[in-house]
Amino acid sequence: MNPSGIPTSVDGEPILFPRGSHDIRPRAEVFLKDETLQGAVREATTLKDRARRDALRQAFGADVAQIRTLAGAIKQHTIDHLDHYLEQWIDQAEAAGTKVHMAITAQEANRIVVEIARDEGARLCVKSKSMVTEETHLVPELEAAGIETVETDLGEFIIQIDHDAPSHIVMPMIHKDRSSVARAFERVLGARYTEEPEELTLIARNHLRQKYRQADLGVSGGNFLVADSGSLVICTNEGNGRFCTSAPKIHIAVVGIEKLIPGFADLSVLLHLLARSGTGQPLTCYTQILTGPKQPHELDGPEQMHVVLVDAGRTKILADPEFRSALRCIRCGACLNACPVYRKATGHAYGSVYSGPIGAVITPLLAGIDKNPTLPEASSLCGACHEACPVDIDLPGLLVGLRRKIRKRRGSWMERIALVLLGLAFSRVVSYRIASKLQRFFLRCIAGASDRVHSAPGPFSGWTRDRDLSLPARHSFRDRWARKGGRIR
Amino acid sequence: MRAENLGFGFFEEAAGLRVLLFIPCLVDQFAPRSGEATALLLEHLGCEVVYPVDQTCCGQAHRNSGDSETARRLVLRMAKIFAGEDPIVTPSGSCAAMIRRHAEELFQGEDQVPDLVKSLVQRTQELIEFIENGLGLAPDEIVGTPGAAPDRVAWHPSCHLRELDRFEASGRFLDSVPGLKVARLRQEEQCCGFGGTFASKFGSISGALAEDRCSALVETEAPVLICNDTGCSMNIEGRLSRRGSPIPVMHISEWFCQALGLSYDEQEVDR
Amino acid sequence: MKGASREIFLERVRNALGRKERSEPPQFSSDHNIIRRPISTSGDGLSGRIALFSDRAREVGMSVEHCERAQVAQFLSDWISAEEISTVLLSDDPLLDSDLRKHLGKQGIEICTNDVDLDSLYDQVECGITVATAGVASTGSLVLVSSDHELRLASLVPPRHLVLVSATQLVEDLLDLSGPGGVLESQGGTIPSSVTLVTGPSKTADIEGVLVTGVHGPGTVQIVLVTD
Repeated sequence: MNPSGIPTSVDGEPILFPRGSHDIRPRAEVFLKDETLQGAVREATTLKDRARRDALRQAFGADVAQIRTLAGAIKQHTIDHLDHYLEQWIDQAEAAGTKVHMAITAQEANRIVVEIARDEGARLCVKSKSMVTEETHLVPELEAAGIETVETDLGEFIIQIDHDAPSHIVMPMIHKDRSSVARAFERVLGARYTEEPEELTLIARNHLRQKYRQADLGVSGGNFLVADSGSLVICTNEGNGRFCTSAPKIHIAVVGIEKLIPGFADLSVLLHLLARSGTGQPLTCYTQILTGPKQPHELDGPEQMHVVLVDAGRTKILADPEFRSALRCIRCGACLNACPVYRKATGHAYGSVYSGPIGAVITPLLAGIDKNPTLPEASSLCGACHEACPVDIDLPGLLVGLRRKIRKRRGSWMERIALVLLGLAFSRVVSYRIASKLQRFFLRCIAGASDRVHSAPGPFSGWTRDRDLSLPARHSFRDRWARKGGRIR
Repeated sequence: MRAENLGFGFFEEAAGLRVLLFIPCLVDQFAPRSGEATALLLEHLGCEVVYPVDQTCCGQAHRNSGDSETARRLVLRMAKIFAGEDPIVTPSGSCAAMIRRHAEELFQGEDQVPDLVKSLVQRTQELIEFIENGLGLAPDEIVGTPGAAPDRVAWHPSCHLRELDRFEASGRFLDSVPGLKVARLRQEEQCCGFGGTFASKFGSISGALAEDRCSALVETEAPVLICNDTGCSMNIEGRLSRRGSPIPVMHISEWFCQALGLSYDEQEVDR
Repeated sequence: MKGASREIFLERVRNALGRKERSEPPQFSSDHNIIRRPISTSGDGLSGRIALFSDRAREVGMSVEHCERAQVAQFLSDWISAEEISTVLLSDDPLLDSDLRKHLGKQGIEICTNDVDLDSLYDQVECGITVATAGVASTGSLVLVSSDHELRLASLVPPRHLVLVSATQLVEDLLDLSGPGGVLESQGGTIPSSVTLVTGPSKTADIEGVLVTGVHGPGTVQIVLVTD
């Protein structure tokens, strides 16, 4: 437990970034029992999922599908030619005065940021939301280097001071209620206890404004990198992103290489989809298009702009044509909001910075299947995520592809045998009949005197925990049809 | 199988159109009544229904588990058994989706998909889809006897209808059946939690989703649930049974048979 | 430049894509104009853009008033006194001319200019008054651009933001920002270091989904659409 009473581990493993192999199930069990959490997550995700559908339909009517296909094609084209666009972006960005650094690993990314900060003698850093810096654990590195680092996105700020972890890509504190915020502000900021969201926000605002004024370094992420102009695009709602990139004299952006897009026309398409997909807004309140540091004639802005391009396993995904499309992701959060498994298990159950369907795909791809073998299996393949994705990523298809990998590498012998036997059963009518007789016999046995199964053993116990199982019919359809003399061939 | 036609409509254009009946393994084993009702309905609508006896499975379970070699074998087997030009009709949306959306990708590269499989993919349709698109019929052209079937039902759209672009269309079809009031479930877009082996492997998450579905159903106070995927039905029925809410679940074909006075064997288990 | 060398970094990407050397990608041919929505227009479309912009901007929580150019000074000073604002920051723009300063001076409003010190900016200025370079009708967005006559912080730090935009500067869609004459058109010269699209007051719903405005940026945005 941390100071605010939040469980920080399950089964001895840290909730986020478990050290050993991670199984989503025990964590999901913990969170399924938390009724307040379930209610909060259900409401937030359902609301945003509906808002997405309504906003897209209202804006684009029957053209939604076509526009999503276009957006997907733009991203796919870009990553299929990422070498070209990346190089073009670097050339253009440098021409505009941006200092471009390249990090192959997560550690390297952190090291670069810390070095820049040290070189410039930075003491206080204000940071806006960036998923990739959560991936690399940048903040602890900056703090270890003696640079006070303050998260300024309200949700991330609260999570930072409460020693918690984000549970959603776009709504990081979807799992926290107002009383936990009130307690945290009282404890850490010495604020008067209040549970009113407006008052709590004001407390945070006042506290953070002091930081903006004093900060000598601003760190941000990036939503898009526009190749033909060398620009960085940041989409936010609160305004903290603008502060972090405009108030301090140095701005460092840390951005994954998959954020590239060719030009501003492409940006327009993606912007029209990003906020609508994530929250139902036409655009986020602020869309910043940053191209280089403050120019000599401009009145204010950072004197230095650095961009750290991060690989950290993305080239590994790029190299596999089957999974490359996962790099289209623009981190809108729509798939999380649509996913029934996310809604029940909730974000922290995924043991990773990225949760929901996209998390279930890229976490094993980035961190290794052996560490996350259950994530691709934890899906009913309902397809809601694919339908929600603004860049048309076939997430269920990618999950099945990962299941194929898992089966080859580490399928359990029991499962292998079951699949082989099932395959045999389906190969001929004769073996099918035998298998169905065996199934009927087995189920009748475990049903006992009842007309349904109340408790199944072994791997099937997961079903009968909360459900009964009906018995097979005495006569299969095949038998009925034969008995009634139906036409066959 | 002769249909006892007590309904008001009959369909000369469809007369004699031969369809091949594709009965999923779960229907064959656990809900043969819905297979029978499907065949009856198709015959009533004027089709000549033929059941290829060697069929077993479309390969969905193996494909979803990552065993694409076996899935490919099973798809090829099915393609041979269903070879020809006749439309293939199945009562299950998930099996139709497996064939239409996932069969070809099992064969590496577009040029390596055997013609037999391409033909299979082109001809396979889910029942309601076939009635609307294949036969070109609107619900008000299939008129039954008022009161013969429940006039108020709840509707469970199964997730795989998304892959067939039939999620909304199937609901609309049902909404336009004359004399039928359709109660929509709260959060109908949220999966019921079946997902094949997912239901057992991730039992607590699956069970929680099944409970959501059941409590939404109970809220509607509808006397019956229309559910066209046997996996979903078994899942929902299983939860309804455990929580003590014995609301019957039926396939749309069964509703139509009841409305049209076509009798079929409703019993499943002989005890 | 820190970290990996450019050659090594790009080579990793090239290798992943199975390429030996840099190559031009095939032309990506697709009509992005599918995202444009028809605007009911007459004549040159200006009235359509004005109407759409006003609707969209209001939908996202900004206030919109229309005002003729000749009335701007009077309008602004009336608004400022009605809102009981006593200190403003004025950008350096022809629309915010000496006429306006005279009006405000008469009412005893304190006027800060671009050389305002940080303490006054953060602690005293109640409203930043700026001029947008353009507006986007389909999203209801204002386009604010870094320049030698406007501070980036002017539209960010003060709790209220009043922003003027000429109706003739309204474009139909985001696509037009990078079209001929657009602020993002990169032919002939560099684009400004910061181009910000403002589409609503600062907001969050992080705490239990309850909407709160004015988190870091301005909580109120008053748009004055200037017509000739």
